[in-house]
Amino acid sequence: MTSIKQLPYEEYFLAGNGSCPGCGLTIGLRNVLKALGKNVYMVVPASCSSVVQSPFPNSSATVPLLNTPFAASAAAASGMVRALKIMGKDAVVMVWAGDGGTFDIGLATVSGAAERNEDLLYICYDNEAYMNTGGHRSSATPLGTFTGTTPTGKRENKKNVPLIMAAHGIPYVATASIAFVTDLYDKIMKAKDMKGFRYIQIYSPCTPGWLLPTEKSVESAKLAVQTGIYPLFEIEGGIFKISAPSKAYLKKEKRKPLHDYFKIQGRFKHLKEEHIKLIEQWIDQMNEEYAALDGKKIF
Amino acid sequence: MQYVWKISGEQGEGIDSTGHIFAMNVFRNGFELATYRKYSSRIKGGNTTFEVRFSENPVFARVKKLDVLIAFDENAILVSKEQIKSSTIVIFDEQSGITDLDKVDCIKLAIPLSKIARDITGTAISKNMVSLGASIALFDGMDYSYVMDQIEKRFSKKSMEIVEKNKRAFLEGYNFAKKFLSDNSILPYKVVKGKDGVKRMIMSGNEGLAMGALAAGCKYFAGYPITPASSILEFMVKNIGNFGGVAVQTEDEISAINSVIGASLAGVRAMTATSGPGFSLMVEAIGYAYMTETPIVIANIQRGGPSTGLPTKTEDGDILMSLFLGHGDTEKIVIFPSNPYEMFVYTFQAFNLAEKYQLPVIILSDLQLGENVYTTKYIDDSLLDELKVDRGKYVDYEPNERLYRYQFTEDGISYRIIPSVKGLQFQTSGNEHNEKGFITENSSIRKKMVEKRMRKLANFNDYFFEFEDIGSNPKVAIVAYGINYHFVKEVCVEINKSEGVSFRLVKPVVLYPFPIEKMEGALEGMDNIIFVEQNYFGQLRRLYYMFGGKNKSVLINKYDGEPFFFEDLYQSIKEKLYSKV
Repeated sequence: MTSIKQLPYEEYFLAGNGSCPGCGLTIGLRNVLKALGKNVYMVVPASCSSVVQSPFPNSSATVPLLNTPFAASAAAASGMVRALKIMGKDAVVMVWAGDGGTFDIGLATVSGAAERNEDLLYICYDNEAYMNTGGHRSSATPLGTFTGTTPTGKRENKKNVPLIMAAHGIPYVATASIAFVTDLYDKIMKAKDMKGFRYIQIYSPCTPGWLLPTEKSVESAKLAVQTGIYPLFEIEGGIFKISAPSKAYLKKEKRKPLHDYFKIQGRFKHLKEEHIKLIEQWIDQMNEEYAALDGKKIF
Repeated sequence: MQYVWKISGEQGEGIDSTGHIFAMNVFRNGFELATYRKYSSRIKGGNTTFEVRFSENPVFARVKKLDVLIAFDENAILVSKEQIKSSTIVIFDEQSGITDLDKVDCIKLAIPLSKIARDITGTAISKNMVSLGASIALFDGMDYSYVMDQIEKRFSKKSMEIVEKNKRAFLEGYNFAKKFLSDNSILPYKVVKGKDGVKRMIMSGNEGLAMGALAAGCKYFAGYPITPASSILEFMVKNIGNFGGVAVQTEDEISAINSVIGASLAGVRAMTATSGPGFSLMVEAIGYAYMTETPIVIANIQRGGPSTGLPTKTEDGDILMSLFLGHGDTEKIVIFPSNPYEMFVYTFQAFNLAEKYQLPVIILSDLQLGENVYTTKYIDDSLLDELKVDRGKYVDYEPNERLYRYQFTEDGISYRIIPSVKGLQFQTSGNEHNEKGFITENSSIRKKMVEKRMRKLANFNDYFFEFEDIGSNPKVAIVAYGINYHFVKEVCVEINKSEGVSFRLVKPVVLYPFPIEKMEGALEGMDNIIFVEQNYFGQLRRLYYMFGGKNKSVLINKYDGEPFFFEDLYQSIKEKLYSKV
C-alpha cells in the first residue's frame, strides 16, 4: 500500500478552480490525476465537474478534456478509445462523471460500454444528488435524505451501481473515498494498467448540497466508512474483497454510531429516531451481506 | 418615480433570498416591479446578482441606471459598470477588498457590514440584513414591516434570540444609512405608495405555469433537473400532492416525457417541464404522442443554446425547433405566453387544447420570464370560473354506440377512449394503425389516417392573438412575444411620449398553428414592421415568411444571453423607425 508521503508531488488538477470550499470531487480528481499522470484523456458529462474545471480563466485540468452531453460520456469515451487505437496512440481514456450522469441518465451508455468491455476507466464521483442544478435527488441519494425534490426525505434506497457494474462481468469494480486517499490512489494505479472496462465509484461530499460545514467534508467521508454506510470494496475478476479501510467496520460493534455521521449534515436533520433505526437496519444487513461475500467469486 | 435597487456578490452569500425579501417588501408597499437575476452554473462562488426595478407604473425591462447598489465584492462593481451613475449610492464594506471604487463616480456609502453583522449576530452572513436595512433607509417613506415579518418567519424556528439579533442587525444598517444621509446632506429617494386599490400578485413565470397546471387539474407531473426549469419540478413535488396528484423525478427527460404519455393514456392530465437539452431528448416521444393522439403538455423554459449553451442565460432560440421537431408529418400546438399571468392562463388553456385536439401542446417560455418575478394581474375566483376544464371527447363510460379510438370523423378528432372502459378494447401504437388502433401498413388506411390527423387543426381558431395601439393611426408595427413584448411596450410608450410616433404592438401567443391571417390583418397598412427577438435567426420572422407573410420587415435581435436594456431597445427601435425597408 502506498503511503501518503509516497504520493507524487506533480499536480495535474490545479488550484484556483471554481469549486466550492470543501468540495469533495476536487479532492478526488486531484488524487486520481496524480495516479494517472499526464497521458490521459478526460471525458466529463454535464456536472459540477465541468463548471469547476473548465470556465475561463479558472480552467484547472492540465489534460485533454472533453465535456459531453449529459447522457453521453461512456459512449463518447467508447468512440474516443477506439479512435486512439486506430491512430496508434496509447493513453488512458477516463470518464469522470457524477452520480446523476452515471446512476440515472447515463446508465444505459455506461452499461452498453461495459457490456462491450470498452477499454476505458469510468470513474463516478458520488455526491449523492444533482448538485449542479441546486440539489435534486438522484438514484444515488440515500434513504431519508433531504433534497430540493425530496423535501420530506427520500423514500427510496440508494441504487447499488457497483454491483450492477460487476454483474456485467467487467475486469474491475471498486468503491473508494476521498477520506482514504492512499486506498483511492492504489485502486486507480491498479485499474490504470488493466485492459477493458473498469468502474470506480468515489464517495465525494458536497458541502453546500449536504448542508455540511466546509471543514467537515473529509470528516463526513471518514464517518461514512466508519459507520458502515459506505463500505469500500473491490471486485476484481469477479472476486469480492472488502478494502482495508472498511475491514474493521464489517462488525457492528466496531462501527461508529450513525448519529455521528448524520448530525453534522443538514440533509439528515429532519430524520426522526425511527427513521434512523430503519436506516441502521439496512446498514446492518448490507454489511452482513458484504461480510459473507468477502473473498468469494460473485460474478 | 422609478428606482432600481441591486445586490451583487458571490453565489452562496444569500444574495437571492435578500433580493426576494426586498422585492416582496417593495410589492407590499404597493409598487409594480420587475426583477433581473444573474447567476452562475456554480453553486458557491461566481458572481450573482438580484436587481429590482420598481415604480407606481408597470415596469418590465432592465435600465442602465442604479439608484442603490449593494456591492459585496469587486465583481459586483465590475458587472454593474454600465449602470453606475454619479447619483448611484453604492453600499459596500471597506473590509471586503473593493479597491476599484475610487475611480468610480458615485455616492459611496461605506459600512462595516461584516463587523456589524458579527458583533450583533455572531455570523458575517447577516451582513445581508445590515445592508438590506441600510438600502431601505435610502428610500424615504418605504415601510419595512414585511422585512420584520420575514425575519420572524425565517428565524423563529431557531430561537427568538436570533430573530431579535437579526432585527437589530437590520436596524443598525438602517440607522447607519439614515445618519450618513443627514451627515452628508443627501436627500433620500422619495417613494409614494401606489394607492390605486387594484389587487396584484407577484410571481415568476415558472410559478404561474405550475399553478396554472394545478388549476387545470394536472394530476401527473414528471421532470428531470435542468436550469431554468428545475423550479417547476420543485414546486410540483411540494404542491401537487395537495391537489390529488403526483410528481415524479425520473432518471432522464426521455423517461419523464414517456411517463407523462403513459399517465395521459391512462386518463389523467399530465405534463413535463424542461429546457433545451432535455427538450431535444424528448423529441421522439413528442412524435409518438402525436401519432397516438395523446394529449400532453410540455413546457420548454428556454436558455441559450445550442447544446449545453448558456445554462444560466436567456434566449428564445427553440421556436423553429418546437414547430418542426420530430420526423414525419407532425403537428403540435405551440404557445408562447408573455407574462406570469399569461403563463397561468395559457398553461390552463394548454391542457384544454391538448385534450380538445388530442395532441402535444408545447408551452415556450424563457429564463428571463421563468425565473424572474414580476407584478402581475391578480388571479381570482372569477378567472377560475371563466377558465373551464374541457376534456374534449374523453370517454370513460360505456358508450351506447360503437366507437373506435381512432375512428374516422369529420373534424378528425376521434373519441378518446381510455383503457379499461367496458365494452371497448384499447389498443394504441406509434406504428401506423387502423381505426381500432391495430398496426397496419395498408396504403389506403394509411392515407386516410394521415388526412384524419391533419383535419384536426384545419379549423383551429384558439390563437389568443392580440395587438394594441400606442398613439393614434400607427404606421409602425412591432411584433414581439414573450416577456420582450412588455419590454417593447414600455419603450414604445416612451418614444410615443417624446417623439410622438405611434405604434401598433402585435403579440402572437399561439405560434402553431401559425396565426398568419391574424398577423396580416394586424399588419395591414403599416409602413414599417419590426420584429424584436431574442435569437440570431429572427425565428418568428422566418416563420412569418414561411407561412406566407406578404409584408416587408426588419429585425432587432439579441443573442448574447442577456435581456434587452430599455435604452438599447429604445435606440434600436428609433434607428429602425427611419431606416428604409
